[in-house]
Amino acid sequence: MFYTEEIRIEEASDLLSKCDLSVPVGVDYTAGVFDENKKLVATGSLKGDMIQGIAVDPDYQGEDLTGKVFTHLVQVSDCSSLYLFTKPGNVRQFEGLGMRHVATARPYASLLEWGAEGLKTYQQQIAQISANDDMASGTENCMISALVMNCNPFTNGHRYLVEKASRESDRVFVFVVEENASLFSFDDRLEMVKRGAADLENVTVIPGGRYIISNMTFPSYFTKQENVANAHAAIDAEIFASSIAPVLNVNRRYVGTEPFSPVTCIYNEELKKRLPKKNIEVVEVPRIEIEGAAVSASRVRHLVHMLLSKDESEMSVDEICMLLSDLLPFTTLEYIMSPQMEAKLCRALNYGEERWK
Amino acid sequence: MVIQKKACAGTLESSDIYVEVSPLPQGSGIKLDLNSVVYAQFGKEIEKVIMETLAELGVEDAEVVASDRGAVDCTIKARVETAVCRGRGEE
Repeated sequence: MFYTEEIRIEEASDLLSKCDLSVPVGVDYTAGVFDENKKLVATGSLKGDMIQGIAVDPDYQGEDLTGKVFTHLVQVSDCSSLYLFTKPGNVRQFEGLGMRHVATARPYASLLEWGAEGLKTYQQQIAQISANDDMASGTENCMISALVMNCNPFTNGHRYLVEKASRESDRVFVFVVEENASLFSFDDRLEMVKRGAADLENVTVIPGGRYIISNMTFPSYFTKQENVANAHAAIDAEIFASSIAPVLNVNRRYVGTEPFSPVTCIYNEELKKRLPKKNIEVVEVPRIEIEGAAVSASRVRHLVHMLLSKDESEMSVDEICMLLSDLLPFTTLEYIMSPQMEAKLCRALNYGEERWK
Repeated sequence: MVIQKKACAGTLESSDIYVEVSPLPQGSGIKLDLNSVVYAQFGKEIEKVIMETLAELGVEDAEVVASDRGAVDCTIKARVETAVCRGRGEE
């Protein structure tokens, strides 16, 4: 009586709007469930490993069509884990389908996971990294701090923050955001942070994995546009507080201020609102300035750009190099000035090779 | 019987069970992960049916993930059998 097949996302737009949802953007696959009169009665889509745009015609609710759509998507997808954002009120329904609850950020959304136990695996990984770094780990009355950084690249600003945390804590974990959307690849950023913090004995550097900054595309159709940044930050904060901090006994999180980025500002606000409820103190540190300008990785990238393109309209090559050596710790300078890195950066910025000189 | 590849059977619809089998190295035994809407009432019983079915089919090493939505024993048995057949390369 019902059958399921692949459809184009446009075909689902009427049904989605009937359910007060807008059409998800950039999906890879859309499933449609039809009744015997070939009427579309339920739909759901996949975007990478995210399930999006699940909707069931209100006249057909109670027929368990969500289960049909979900089964179809699970079978079509070749990802080992799938993720779904939903309203906190729907968590029970999806748990009934065998999904696991990851975190809830009221009032915005809940995140659920299907398949391989991604979160549990990540928790085991970070526990292992922590244990390998043979420090006396989390006992009572210890101050254990965490920082989450992109470090694109690792600057003196990052160094200052890590150093301060190291001085003020018994142990520090630095999580490096794991995605490759930055100028410097994740592997290079991780390496720069490791080198830049190598002299600080109580600091352990950890890959950020999938959960530290959930680069899972938060469906914009899901919540009001102005709330997307809040919802995203809120989910990250809740995952950190409930599933990551407890593994490492973290009780303090350091964040840098970002005077020019509203997103970071919202991010810090959500952390300050949510972490203290789970007994994690949030310390916001104003960023350092060198010669009147805030040390920022974007400024460094701009300088690198000028250097590689031999653009001397703003300043001479010597001046650029001088400024870079003020903004970057020696470890980073050494790392990014290597011939291999030059070639990588030239590729990333679409220049010819051999421009470092 | 040896599971060669990942395979599944069943659906996540009400009164059904979704069973997924994956290969494990020889000597690993059966690693079963079951979740069920009626786990509190029938969890042990469902696990028993799955393990017995696997034993009947001679499956010694496999990872089995099952999501149950209230399937009866004969459904559970059928889904496990189908998943195992598909997992050894038969349809």
